[in-house]
Amino acid sequence: MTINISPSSGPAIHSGRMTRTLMIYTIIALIPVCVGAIWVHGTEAAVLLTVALITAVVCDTFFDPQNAHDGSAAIIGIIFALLLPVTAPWWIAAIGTAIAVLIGKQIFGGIGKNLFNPAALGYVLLMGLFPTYFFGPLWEVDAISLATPLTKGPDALQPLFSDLLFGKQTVTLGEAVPLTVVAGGLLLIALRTVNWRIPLIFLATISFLALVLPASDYTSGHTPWLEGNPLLHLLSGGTLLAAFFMMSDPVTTPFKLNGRMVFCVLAATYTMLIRYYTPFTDGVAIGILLANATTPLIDRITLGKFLSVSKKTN
Amino acid sequence: MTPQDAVFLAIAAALLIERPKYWQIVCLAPLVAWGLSELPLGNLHALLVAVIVCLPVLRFAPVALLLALPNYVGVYDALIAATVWFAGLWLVDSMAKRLSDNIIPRPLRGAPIRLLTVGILYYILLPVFYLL
Repeated sequence: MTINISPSSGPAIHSGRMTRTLMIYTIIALIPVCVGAIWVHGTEAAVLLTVALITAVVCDTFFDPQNAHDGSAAIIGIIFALLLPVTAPWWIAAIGTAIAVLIGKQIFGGIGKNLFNPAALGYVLLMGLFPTYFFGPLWEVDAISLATPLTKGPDALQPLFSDLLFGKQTVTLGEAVPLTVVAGGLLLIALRTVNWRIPLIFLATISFLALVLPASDYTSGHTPWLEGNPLLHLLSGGTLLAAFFMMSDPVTTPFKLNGRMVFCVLAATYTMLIRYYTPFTDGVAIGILLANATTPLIDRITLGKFLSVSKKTN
Repeated sequence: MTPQDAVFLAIAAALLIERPKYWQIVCLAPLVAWGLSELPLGNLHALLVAVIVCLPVLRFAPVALLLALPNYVGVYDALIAATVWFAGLWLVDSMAKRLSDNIIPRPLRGAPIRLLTVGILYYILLPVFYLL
């Protein structure tokens, strides 16, 4: 006989916070990031953000009208757009967001039940469907050819610290002004929506691995600056966005804090391995999804006897 | 068919077939396929591989055949395929609770959602093959 004790049966103390409140806090924290992206990349960024936001809300309302106004779809849309390169056409944002909401969220049962981070899943599936928009070594931005700071290959350009900080050599919306991501993240920490340990462990693991990982054929030839350079890895790609806005997703990450810490280390490790040893430019989305896949296992280990008592009888 | 395609098809197949008692033996299929490919068997090669990998666990024969299909370059290749299949199946099994029937939309319940999850895992794990 197996006795299952469900965590929903209590005893439980309500924190007083509703899902909608948490979502509104997150949207407020994302506003400076969006403003930074629009400030650096202009109209193109505004179009991508608007299309993604509208598509997310429309898809969510169509499939789940009862829960559509909790704000989670808006967050998926905004985070997905922030992962995109500014050169992506508007329809890429629309298709990707639709994939994120429908495949990432709705088919797994809607809010609170999805296995994978919807924005990251939309991004990775889109990468497989339209690779040319994600793997170009150079992007034309305002008639200037730019390479994302994490590009590996002969066309790669060594980024300056000041360029990274103010978005002069950045391509994706989320890396446009890293300080705005940090500001938004600190706001979430201040509002107690995000536990400070989560981004800290993720960023510390990224930095540590950037220092200790041995070079690979992908990095040592054309892009030696990618090795032993923690600051570059922290300020480029989706690292900061993931640390503050994706690692803290309560649904796709483990239930307990120690489990979440393990999750952060795993996601950061996968990210750095992909950045160092594969031709992919930014491994954050894939790293998060790989870690998401291990969430049920981490939960089983960390929750174990806490939630279920098994008693075998004859 | 590449080893990674075969591995994920085998994971999908394993989810659709009721597991026999010693299903783990199927892990040996890639190694057997590689080992026999090293022998001068001529036209008998395919037949022998099919018989040897299918006989030990008959109910899991489709899974074993899928794992034995690719051309493994070396023993390392075969070992990786066996490990990824076992780990992938373990991972999907661990998600079973999150894919339980009552939370999934009705048309997707059961096999469809599991197959879809395997498809998603295939996409996610593609970069991992560069690491191996």
